[in-house]
Amino acid sequence: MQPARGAPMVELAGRAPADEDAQLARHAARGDSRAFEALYRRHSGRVHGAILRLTGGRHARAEELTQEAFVRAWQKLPGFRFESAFGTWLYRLAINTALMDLRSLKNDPVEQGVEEDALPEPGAQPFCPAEREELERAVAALSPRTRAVLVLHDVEGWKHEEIAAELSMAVGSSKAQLHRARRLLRRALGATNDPAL
Amino acid sequence: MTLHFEDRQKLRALAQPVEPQRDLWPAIAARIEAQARAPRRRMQWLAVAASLACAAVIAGAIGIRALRSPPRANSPAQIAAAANIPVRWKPSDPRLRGAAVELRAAQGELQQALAIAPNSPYLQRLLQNTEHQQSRLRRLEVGAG
Repeated sequence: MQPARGAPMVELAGRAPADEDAQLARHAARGDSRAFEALYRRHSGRVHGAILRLTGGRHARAEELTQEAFVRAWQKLPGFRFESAFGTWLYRLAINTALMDLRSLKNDPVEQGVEEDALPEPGAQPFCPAEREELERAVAALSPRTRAVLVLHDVEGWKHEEIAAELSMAVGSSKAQLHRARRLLRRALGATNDPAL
Repeated sequence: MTLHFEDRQKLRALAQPVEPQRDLWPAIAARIEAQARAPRRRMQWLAVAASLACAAVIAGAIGIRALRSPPRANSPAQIAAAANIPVRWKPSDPRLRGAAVELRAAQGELQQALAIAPNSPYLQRLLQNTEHQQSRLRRLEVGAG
């Protein structure tokens, strides 16, 4: 798709990243796909990273959902009011896309009960690349809904109220899921007798 | 049992950008391009259908007016025959033939447009008006003998 005829080239030199995003988003909202491609290049890592964590490291699914998130962003851009940073808006939209996929699962993933057996063996404490990988695998082994609560709260920094609203659950359920997820993770990481914080 | 502060810091550290393993842009561009084309096609259909329907209504009105002057008598047999008009109706009266062709073309275009947008009240109304004009023409031809 080509930009609208006569559309000015996006001039970004010397602008702050958020201003650059806003400028690109305004062009994209008017149908300039080159501006939208620039936004994709700037944000694909963050968007895909968040979705990848929510899908438990399933790369193919995460890429499909990342695509879907950017297509939805293109459709919704004309209605974007610039009341928040474009990056924040896009990130929330991407998380919502991944959670919609989670909600569409036919069976209640909480009841699948596969994660305890699937957790990796306890590993070393230092946060070296190997340990990071182990932690990622432990998170990925959680059931989808439990993982979503843990990732949104402990990785992405969301509040229980926000998680409960997005996942259509009570705030208490979000807290219970988080407790369960942390317990499983702790077991996987091997420190069964350390005091809890 | 819950997580240590240190573990929670490690979890927080997972929040890093991760680039997709392949470039997703070509697929995204193809999808948004396809979506951009679909509404344009639909709008073109609507415009064509609307203009044809307007032309047909005008043509029908001209044909009807032409037939009414001079008025001709109806016979009961002619009116009865009007109930069994074939689908590809071709009026014998040359004054009505052009209007009938226009109306039939408009009817076809509107039916195609409705196949794309079956729930459009505007298109349904135009089709109804067109068909109403067709029946009026048929009655007039029968009445004109």
